[in-house]
Amino acid sequence: MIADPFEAVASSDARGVDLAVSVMVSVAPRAVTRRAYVLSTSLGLEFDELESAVAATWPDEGRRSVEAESLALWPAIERRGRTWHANDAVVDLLASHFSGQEPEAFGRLNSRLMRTEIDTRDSLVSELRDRGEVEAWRSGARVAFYRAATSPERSVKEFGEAFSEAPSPDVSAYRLWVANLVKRREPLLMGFPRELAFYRGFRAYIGGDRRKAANEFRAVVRDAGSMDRYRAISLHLLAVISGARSLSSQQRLEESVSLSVEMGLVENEVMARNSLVWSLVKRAEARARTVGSNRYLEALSVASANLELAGELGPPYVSAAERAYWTVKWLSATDGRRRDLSAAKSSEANEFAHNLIRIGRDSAQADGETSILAFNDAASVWRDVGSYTRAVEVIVEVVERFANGYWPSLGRVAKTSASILARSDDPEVRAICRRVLRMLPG
Amino acid sequence: MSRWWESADRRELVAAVEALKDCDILVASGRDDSGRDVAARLAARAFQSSGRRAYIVHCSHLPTLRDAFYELWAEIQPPGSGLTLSRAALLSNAYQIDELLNDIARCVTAAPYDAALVLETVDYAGPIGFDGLRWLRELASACSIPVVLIARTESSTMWHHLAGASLMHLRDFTRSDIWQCLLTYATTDLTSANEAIDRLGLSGQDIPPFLAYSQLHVWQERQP
Repeated sequence: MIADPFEAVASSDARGVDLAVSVMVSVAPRAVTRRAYVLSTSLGLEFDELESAVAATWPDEGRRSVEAESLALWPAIERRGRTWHANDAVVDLLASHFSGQEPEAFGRLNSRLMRTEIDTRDSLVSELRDRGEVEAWRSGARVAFYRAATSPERSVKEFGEAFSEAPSPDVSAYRLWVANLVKRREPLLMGFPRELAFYRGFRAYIGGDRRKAANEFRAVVRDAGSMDRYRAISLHLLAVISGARSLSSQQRLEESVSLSVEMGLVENEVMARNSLVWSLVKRAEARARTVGSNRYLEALSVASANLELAGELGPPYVSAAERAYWTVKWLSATDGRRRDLSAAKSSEANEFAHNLIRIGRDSAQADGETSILAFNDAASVWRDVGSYTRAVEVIVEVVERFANGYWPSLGRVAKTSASILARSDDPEVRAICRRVLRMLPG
Repeated sequence: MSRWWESADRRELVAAVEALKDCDILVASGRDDSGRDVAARLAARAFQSSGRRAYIVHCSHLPTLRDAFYELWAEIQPPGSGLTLSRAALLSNAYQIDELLNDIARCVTAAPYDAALVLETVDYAGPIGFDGLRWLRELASACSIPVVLIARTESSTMWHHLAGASLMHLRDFTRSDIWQCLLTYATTDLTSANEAIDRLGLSGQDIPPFLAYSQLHVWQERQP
């Protein structure tokens, strides 16, 4: 029989889910509380693993002192397929109770879970690279998670490595996963405020809270003496948040690139340099055209260098870098003139447009935004040389692929359609443009 | 012993699930304390009671949507078919997401029963981007099954951009919800139900569902 829940409520000042945890810890059988503690500290265990972890953490605990069916009745405990977890609502509270009430057991458990994870990681690393790479990377991040309880400094270092080495093709999702693991370990990593600020900033950035992200990233870059991956990435994302046009953004991007080169952070180097290309394009567009000089040469030079490097990294990086290269090369070839181009330029347009269409098709499934932008750039090239029929063919393709979903970049396709409508006299082209404009946002 | 307390008011959810047709998507989003795991179970149960076989994929411990699709893919393989695709192969660039979705659709449409899908806390790791929203739409359409997405309010996914999906919120409970639920518990009379609500700290108007589930369970454990 468990203790009286009414008394537990009466004697607690807690509210909401805090009250639920307070009552559960007071009234649940010890065997249940211990299992809830273990699950709050782990990243998911099968039932046998849970029992072993309990027995190793509390040698006085008998094996199977609670049955799985009875354990599953407790709302704080969840069975998700084969693995058991603490409920999302209380996982951090339970972990905090555990580390506060039984610090030695908490340390013992984390050490044990970490050793198990290290064994897993080592066995995965020894497998063929293409079979074990992603799983080994994940396991490495889990090692960092468990190590936070016993060796915070090393844990932070390992988290940083996991973040930097997140595998393709879902790099951002994996990085967010690492940032979420760090969040769960914040109470153990309070000695590393700058690193914690970085991960908070990254979570906010991906979550769309740009103001919070900017504040956190500013805290990361405030100390100019800390030349590390956190600074390199924060500078890049701060520049993206601030907008491409400002001089400070360009300076941040340049510093991010050079720091990435220095530290061998190839992915950040490619991404920051790609952002730098568009920043240089914006600044070039703002300058007046002058005879004998080309406003886009600097952007083209950066885009060209980036394309070569992106080739080493694989599809998501290549598509973005290639799109920037072909688009900026067109801007450079025409010095940004978007109409009344010479016949020679018209014959060159073919190569530019076809490359951009290829990029659009290649990236359509995995990276819709890049795909739409590449298609739109191709349509713009045809429009610039007055090939309106070809331009609307590209627009029809992008609309057929993407118009049944929401994509912010479709607004740009609408603008391109509007500009073709304004220039073309062909009734068929104009009818297509009108139809597209009715379908698209903006 | 049972989880009878899970019947505390989620009638809106159950009714919405029962009304789903093939290819429909319902997004039910709630906070971390809204009992999303319970909502997923109730949705699956509602599908089952309407004659469908419901697959639940728990996404809370999965880093990416691709992982969730892999879990589903592994789950729906016919018995004895043998897994021809390793997780590592899928998670690398080699296996494209559209091929995976087609494979899932092939298995689902070949099954000798009507199926349905529940993805629990599908956006646990963070907001699902526009590509992910498209994949979810394609999944429901290609499989031609109803899909329930239990979502995390905290992740700020822009669900209103998921084409054709209906959205609902997993709301907090009221005292009245708890009272109704207690009355379904066979041994409870009106007096003890009222007393239990007050003494368990469940007498407010906005009661986090997790608190309700937790308190009602410890109360149940005390019953003779």
